[in-house]
Amino acid sequence: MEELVNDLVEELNCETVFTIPIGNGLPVGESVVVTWIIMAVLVIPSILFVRNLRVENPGKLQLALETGIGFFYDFFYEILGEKGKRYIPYLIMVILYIGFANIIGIFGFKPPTKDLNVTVALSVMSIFLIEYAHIQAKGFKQRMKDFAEPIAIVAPINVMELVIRPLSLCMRLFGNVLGSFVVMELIKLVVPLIIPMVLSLYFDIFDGFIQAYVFVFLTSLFIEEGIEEE
Amino acid sequence: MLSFGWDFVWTIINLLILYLLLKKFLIGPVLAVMEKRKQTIEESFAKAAQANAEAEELKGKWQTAVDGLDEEAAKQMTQAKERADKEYNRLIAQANERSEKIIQDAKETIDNERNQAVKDAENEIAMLAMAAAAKIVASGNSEEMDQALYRQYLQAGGVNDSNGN
Repeated sequence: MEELVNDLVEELNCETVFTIPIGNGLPVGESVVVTWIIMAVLVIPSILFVRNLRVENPGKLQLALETGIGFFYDFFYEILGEKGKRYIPYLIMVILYIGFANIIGIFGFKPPTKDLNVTVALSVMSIFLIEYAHIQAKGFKQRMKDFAEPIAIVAPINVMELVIRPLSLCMRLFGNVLGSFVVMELIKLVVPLIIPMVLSLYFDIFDGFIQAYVFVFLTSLFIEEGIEEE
Repeated sequence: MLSFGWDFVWTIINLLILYLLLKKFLIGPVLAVMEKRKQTIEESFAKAAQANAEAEELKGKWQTAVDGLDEEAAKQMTQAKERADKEYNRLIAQANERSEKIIQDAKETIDNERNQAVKDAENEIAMLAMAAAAKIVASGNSEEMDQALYRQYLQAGGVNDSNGN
C-alpha cells in the first residue's frame, strides 16, 4: 500500500524536465514538454497535409478534414451564432488540444491536463476570452451594467462568477483527469489483466473526450451569454 | 501536481502559439475552402435558376413566334389560293373571251367572204345580162333567140337567186 501511494505521488508530481538558464533559472515542467509534443502532432501533419485544398473534387483526406472541422464548426456555430463565429477557431483549437492531452496517456506520456498549471491556464484564457467577447460585443459600460443583471442585488454574485467560472472549468477538468487516473491505478492494482483495458476505454478515452467537450461547450455557452442580443 | 508556477505561463504561451499555428495551417484553410465551396454552390444554383428562367422566357418567345408562323403560313396559303383562283378565273375568262372573239372573227370573215361572193356573182350576172342584151341587140329580134336568151337568163338568174340571200 505504501508503495502504491508513493507510485501515485510520483505519477502525479509534475517534474521539471529542464531549466532555462535565465536569471535564477526558469523551470520547464513535464506538462509543457508534453504540450509541445501535442503541438507537434497537431501542427506538423497540418502543415504537411493541409495543402492544395480544392473547391471542386476534394480528395479523401480533404473530405475527412472538412467533415471533422465542419462538425466542430457547426457545433460551435449553433451555440455562438453569426456574431460569435470569430471565436470558433480558438474553441476548435482548445477541444483538439484537450482531447489529445486527455488521451495521450495511452501513448505513455503524462497527460498535461493532469497538471493544474495547464488547466488553470486553459480556464484563465477562457475567462479572458469570455469577458473580451462580452466587452467587444456590448462595450465596456454595458459590460459593467450587465453585472447588475437581472437585478442589482445579484451584482456580487455576478462579480464572483469572474472567478467561479474559470475555477469550476479548471477544477472539473483537472479533477476528472486526476480522478480517472487514480481509479485506473487502483483497478490495475486489484486486477492487473484485461479488466483495466476495458475500463480504460471509459476512463481514459471516453472521459477524456467528454471533458474536452464539456470544457469548450461551457466556454462557448458563456461567450454566447455575453454576446447575445437582449 | 499542485505546484503553481512557470508552467502556467509556458502553457499560455504554448496555447497561443498552437492557436495561431492551427488557425494558419489547419482551421483557416479548411474553413476557407468550405466557405468558398458554399459560395460556388450558391452561385451555380443562382446561375442555373437564371439560365432556367432565361430558357423558359426564350421558349415562350419561340412558342409565340412559331404560333405566329403557323398563322402567317395559313394566311399566306389562303392568300395564295385566292390569288391562284383569281388568276385561274382571269385566264379562263380571257381564254373564253379570246375564243369568242376568234369565233366572232371567223364568222365575220365568213360573212364578208360570202358577201363578197354575192357581190361578185351579182356583178357577173349584171355583166352576163349586159352581154346577153348586147348579143340580142346584135343578132336581131328573132323569136327563138329571144326565148333562148330568156331561158339563159332565167337559168343564170335562177342559179344566182337560189344562191343569193
